[in-house]
Amino acid sequence: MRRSKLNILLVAILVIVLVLWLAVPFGMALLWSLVDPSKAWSYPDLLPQKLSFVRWTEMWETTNLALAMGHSYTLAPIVAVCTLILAAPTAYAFARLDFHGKTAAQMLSLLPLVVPEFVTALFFTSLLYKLGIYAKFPAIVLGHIVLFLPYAIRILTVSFAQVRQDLIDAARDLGASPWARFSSAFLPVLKPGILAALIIVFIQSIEEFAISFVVGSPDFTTIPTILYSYLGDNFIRPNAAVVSLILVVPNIILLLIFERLLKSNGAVTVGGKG
Amino acid sequence: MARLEIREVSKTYPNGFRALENVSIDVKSGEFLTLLGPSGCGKTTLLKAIAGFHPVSSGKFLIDGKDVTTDSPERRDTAMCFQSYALFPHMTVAENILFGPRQNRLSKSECDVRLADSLRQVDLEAHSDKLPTALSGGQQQRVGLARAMAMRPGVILFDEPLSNLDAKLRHQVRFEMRALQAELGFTAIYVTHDQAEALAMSDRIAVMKAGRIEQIAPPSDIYDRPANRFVADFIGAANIISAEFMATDTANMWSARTEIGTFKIASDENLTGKKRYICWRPESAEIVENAPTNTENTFTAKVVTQAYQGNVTDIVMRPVTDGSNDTVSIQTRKPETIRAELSIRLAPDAFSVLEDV
Amino acid sequence: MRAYSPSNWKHTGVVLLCLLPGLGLIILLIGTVISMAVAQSVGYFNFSGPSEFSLIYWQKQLASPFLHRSVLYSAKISLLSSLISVGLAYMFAMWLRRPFPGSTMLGGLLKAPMMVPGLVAAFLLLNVIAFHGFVNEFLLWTNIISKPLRMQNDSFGTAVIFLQVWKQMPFALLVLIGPVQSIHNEIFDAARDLGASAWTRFRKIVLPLTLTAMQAALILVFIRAAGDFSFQVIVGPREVSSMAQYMYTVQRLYGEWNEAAVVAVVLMTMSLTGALLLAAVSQFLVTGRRR
Repeated sequence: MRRSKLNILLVAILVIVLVLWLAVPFGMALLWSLVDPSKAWSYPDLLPQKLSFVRWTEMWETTNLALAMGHSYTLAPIVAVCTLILAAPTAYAFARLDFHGKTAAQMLSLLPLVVPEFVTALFFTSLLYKLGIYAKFPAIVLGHIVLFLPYAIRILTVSFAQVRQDLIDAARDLGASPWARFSSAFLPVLKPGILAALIIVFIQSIEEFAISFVVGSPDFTTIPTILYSYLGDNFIRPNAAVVSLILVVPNIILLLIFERLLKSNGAVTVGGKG
Repeated sequence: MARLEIREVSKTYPNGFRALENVSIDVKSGEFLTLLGPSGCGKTTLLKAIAGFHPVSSGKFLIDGKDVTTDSPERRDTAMCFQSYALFPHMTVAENILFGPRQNRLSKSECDVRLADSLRQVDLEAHSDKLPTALSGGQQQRVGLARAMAMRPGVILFDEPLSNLDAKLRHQVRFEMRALQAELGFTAIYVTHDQAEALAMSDRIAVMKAGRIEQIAPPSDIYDRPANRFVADFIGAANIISAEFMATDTANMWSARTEIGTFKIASDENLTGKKRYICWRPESAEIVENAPTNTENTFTAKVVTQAYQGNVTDIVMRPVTDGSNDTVSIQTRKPETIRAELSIRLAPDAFSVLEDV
Repeated sequence: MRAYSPSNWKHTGVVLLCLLPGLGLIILLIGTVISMAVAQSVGYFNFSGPSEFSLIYWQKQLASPFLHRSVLYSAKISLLSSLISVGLAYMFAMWLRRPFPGSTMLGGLLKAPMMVPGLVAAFLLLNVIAFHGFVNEFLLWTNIISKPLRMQNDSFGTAVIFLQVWKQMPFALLVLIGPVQSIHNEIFDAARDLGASAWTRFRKIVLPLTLTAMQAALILVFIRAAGDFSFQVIVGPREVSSMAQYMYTVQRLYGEWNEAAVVAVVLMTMSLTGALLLAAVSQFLVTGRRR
């Protein structure tokens, strides 16, 4: 009884802290992005004197933000699909095949997470120079794929492991063709995993900074590299606020859709697991 | 060892569910008391309340006369044997047993004495350096008991400790635990839903249902003199019928009319003119060969179906009386012929008189 | 060992074919990248001048006070970030061990920072602590101070550690919550029953039983924090560089590929040995002194 009351209090405090933690910073970002350039928001004003969408239109028209967004949103789906296709066979082997050195192989698949991203980015660039490859778009696609393969492999391994052998056997016993076997025994269980891998990789690719920045500089921009250019030494707060919101808001919407999809797919998974 | 008094303990959950209602039990020092009942009857709740894990809504617990109701489990003079054994998987048998004494900051020599004693008592000296996972289920159960005993508690609480063992081992451990308790004389509160276990091990059994105690008595009384239909039905097999009592015949001997005939029933109660449920156990039925009709305390019934068990045979019969479609169960040594008509005699003291109809 | 029959060879072939596109690509690329860094650090694959074995780049960098400072600085940031993140993650994991009203929402909120990109997180923190940030505004408004405080780019790196914890704690929580929840309730009850306090239960039961997960979380956070570039550039101290920042500066500003390679090798070595050392120390602390 006492414990539960204490919990309610603690939860309430934490929710308030998190609201301050998330809502206040994002609210301020939103305010900053709406500051009208004609009336600067500076000490001692508590709130901006004038709000407008001027910054947004200005950013869109005068900077290469549109180009960067185009880059990011072409990169991400290509990376997501390629990563998924390349990860699937390895995940299948990890989940359903028996072989010597499986643990070692699984550890090795985490390699991209262990090497610092900037080291990967820098010496990947050096490798590209040595090979005389100057096409930045495919180079970044390759870099992203390798960087995010561990996530996709991990997610799909769990999915493949959930496929029940008795269902596959039953399908074979009933004379199902390989495709029928795949679509009846594998696909229903794999679907949430495939979806999860696609969305996680998509979001990661949109957010990725190190490779896009090092390989892409100076001319190839993505949303995070644009954001970076407005932070740091050359700090332009309203512009950074605009880019931050452009970077974050679609991701949050995507994650909400993803949660919704996973929930409605839950029934399929449970049915599949029996 | 210690005496435990449970005084008018009630527990109501915030959602209004009454897990315990006004439970009072006096457990004597060195007694083996079993809390028996179907799942959800509140027996585990009561046990955890005695240990101090669940605060109660009202009532008191006294150990050797001292009120411990508000003491936390850490400070209460009780030790618990868990259903899952709850052995610490990363500690050896010896470390598990020493955990309690060390937490209580006992001296090294005292710890050693307790470890040696506990290991000897449960006969696990050879396994003291093993991890629990290297032991069999029965051995793990004994480590749990040894760990509890190393605390030298006033009361040891058992939460269905044998339910994870296979049937054969369960039989064996039942004997071992009873012998150990008799030898060391600890006070034990034992929770189970297995009536055979309760009958075999206890000094007294408290039968519980929906948070209340239905009957509390020694095993033989629980079995032979159940207080009501629930107890009669929950423990062993019972034939329960309603009976209308007439005047006494002789002292403590009553005539009662039932759907299967009129019987003489022995009882100390004054039952004149009352309508009560009565019950009798299948094994108390005697088959009377070539009985003349209307022999006292006898009725005729037809064999419906039977199950041969080896040592006994369970027979389901339909009494040959007008209007009744109910069946009765009896137990005999040998199987009978299906559809045979048999005369069955029930002795006057074979009946227990239960509650009003 | 099983005997090698034709079907076993076939099986091995299938396994290799399966591993090739995923694991094969990872090993090929990351392996080449690491080899590239190592080779360039000793003078091979030069972009200018002859490619030949030389230790001059190592001599130059190992003598550089900047490298020393950034190794120490990055190690400090990583150590503090991983300890604080894992400590907080344990706290939340213990709290969320048993579900209670609101625990699902709480879990979701705690994981929210994982979905916010690091650069955005840094920007948001800037908004809060900057000259014109929320904290300063608030303190000015309440007349506690009369002039804004300068909080970003503090020389210790507090802001960087704060951001690392903000970003990494959810990962540590994700790694820890499963193992913590898988400890049977009766184990906790048994420990309580035997007289163990809340702290003892944590120390003697939870820590040893979740040791592997804790080490994984420590390693993960340490390595991620050691390779940090963006937090450092945006809110980190001006007078010292993180290793990734230093490596990038050496390469971009001075065009010294070989020396940058030296820094890269030092960075990889530092993050790996640091992480493993941390895991070893935590193992010793948890299991080493049982009594």
